[in-house]
Amino acid sequence: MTARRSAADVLIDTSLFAFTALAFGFIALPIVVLIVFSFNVDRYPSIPWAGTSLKWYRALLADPGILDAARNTAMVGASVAVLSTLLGTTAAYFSNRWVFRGKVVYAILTAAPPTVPLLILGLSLLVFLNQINLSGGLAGVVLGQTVLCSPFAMGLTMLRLSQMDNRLEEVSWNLGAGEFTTFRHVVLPQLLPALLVALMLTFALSLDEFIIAWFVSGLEQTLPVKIYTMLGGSVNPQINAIGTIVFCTSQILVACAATVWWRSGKVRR
Amino acid sequence: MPFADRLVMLAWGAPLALWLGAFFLAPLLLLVAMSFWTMENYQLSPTPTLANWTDFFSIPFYAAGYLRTLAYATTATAAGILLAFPMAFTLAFKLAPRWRLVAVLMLVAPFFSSYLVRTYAWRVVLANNGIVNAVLGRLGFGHVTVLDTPLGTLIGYLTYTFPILTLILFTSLASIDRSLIEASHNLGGARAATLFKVILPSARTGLCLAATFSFVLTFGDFIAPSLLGGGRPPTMSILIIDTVKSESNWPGAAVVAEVMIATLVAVTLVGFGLASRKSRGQP
Repeated sequence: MTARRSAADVLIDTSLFAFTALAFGFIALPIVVLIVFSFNVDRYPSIPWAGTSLKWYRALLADPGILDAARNTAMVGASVAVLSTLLGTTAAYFSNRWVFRGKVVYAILTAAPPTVPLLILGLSLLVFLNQINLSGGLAGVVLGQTVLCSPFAMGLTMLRLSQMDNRLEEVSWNLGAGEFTTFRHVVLPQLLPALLVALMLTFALSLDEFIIAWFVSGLEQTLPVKIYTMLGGSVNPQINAIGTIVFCTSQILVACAATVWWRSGKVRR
Repeated sequence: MPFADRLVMLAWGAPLALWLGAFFLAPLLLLVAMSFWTMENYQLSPTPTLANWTDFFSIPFYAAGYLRTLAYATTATAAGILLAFPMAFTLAFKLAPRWRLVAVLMLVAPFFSSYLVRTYAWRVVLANNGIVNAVLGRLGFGHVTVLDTPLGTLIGYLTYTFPILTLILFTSLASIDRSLIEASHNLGGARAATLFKVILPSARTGLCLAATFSFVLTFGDFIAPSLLGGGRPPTMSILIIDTVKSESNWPGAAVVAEVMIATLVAVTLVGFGLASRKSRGQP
């Protein structure tokens, strides 16, 4: 096949690769800039490099508002991860095991939240909480972000359930084990990696979610909301520093999740 | 099915349905109801009125905002597809398989990073005292203003959608039967003919899905137009924020939100319809 490679072929391939490299550059640029300039000694990006410093990170540690926001984010993230994984897993098991009337409606309802603009999720939840006289706060953020994250947890668990052999459950029932025992000893062990992955990914999603938190959180800020309040005005490298920390945390979570997913896939085969 | 089994089934299926019913459907329905309520002295009162809706459709400011948002989302979708297609094509057909996985991971990573923070980083790059202008100044060139222009908004939108579009198109292209493409080559089809008669028709589902996703994400986005586009003139999302935060006009914001949802549902139905329609001549 290489025999027919003409100059035009080479030219087309080279341009395609060059374009792809540029496109990856476009995707990576904001992240690289964020990380690099979090270590810059100057407030404004200067060319050439002015000097390396950790002072923006030290400034973060000295800011009680940031530390509070970090604590809030961790609490919200953990609650959202646990709730979404619980709700998502039960719903996935339900859809996977039974055929019932209204299955399509159930599928549409459980897939719908991520397709509604976050702004509208946030607005409607705020209006709703006000109307039933619950002030939002962090609990409100947990309610809203769980709506957003459960469908992802459900999808991941569905994927794993669809790869499982249903006959194992039937064997367990036939041997006299009840619902609970069968789930606990037959289904759950196989599902465990998927649950772990769902916990980590929903935590990562919650960690980065800004709009719902901004609408509902009120005076108790999460990190993205805190970052947003810092954005007003000029360039502030403290945002680079906090952004770098948030970015690295998410990526570590995703990397762990990917490793767990792959390992568990390999062992089974 | 025996009653006990029914209970077991309910116990598995009900929790998520109840949660979504209470904190997703009920709030959305309340928003619909609220668009017919009245504001009296900054107090919301459930006296029914059509004024919020007639306001929206009679004040040119709102109509202009709607058309502007449509234009932005359409432009961003067209630009996103045009840019993502060659990249997805390269990943699917030109890249060695072991690099393909790395590329896919690099496209998934942005999904799990803060869009807000990435948008802020673009401000560092594009600001008047940002990196681009520092470089241009160093080289003796003038000044470029991208921040607070529609181009800034477009860059923000693409930051959001580009990796997702590329992933969708890549998945679609990677599943095309290679023998079709080889057959076209062997029958003497020119490159353009193979692209337009074999590859694009086979990728139609992916293209329609990608366009739908792009439109939905950009039409509802608030971060790019406000942080990179300057927020003026406003898009629909910024109108919602303004109506709530400065005027406390909840019913007005509810109307804007519902017009957005109606538009997105219509676009999604058309997009998914086109994606799933069988083309002529295909089995």
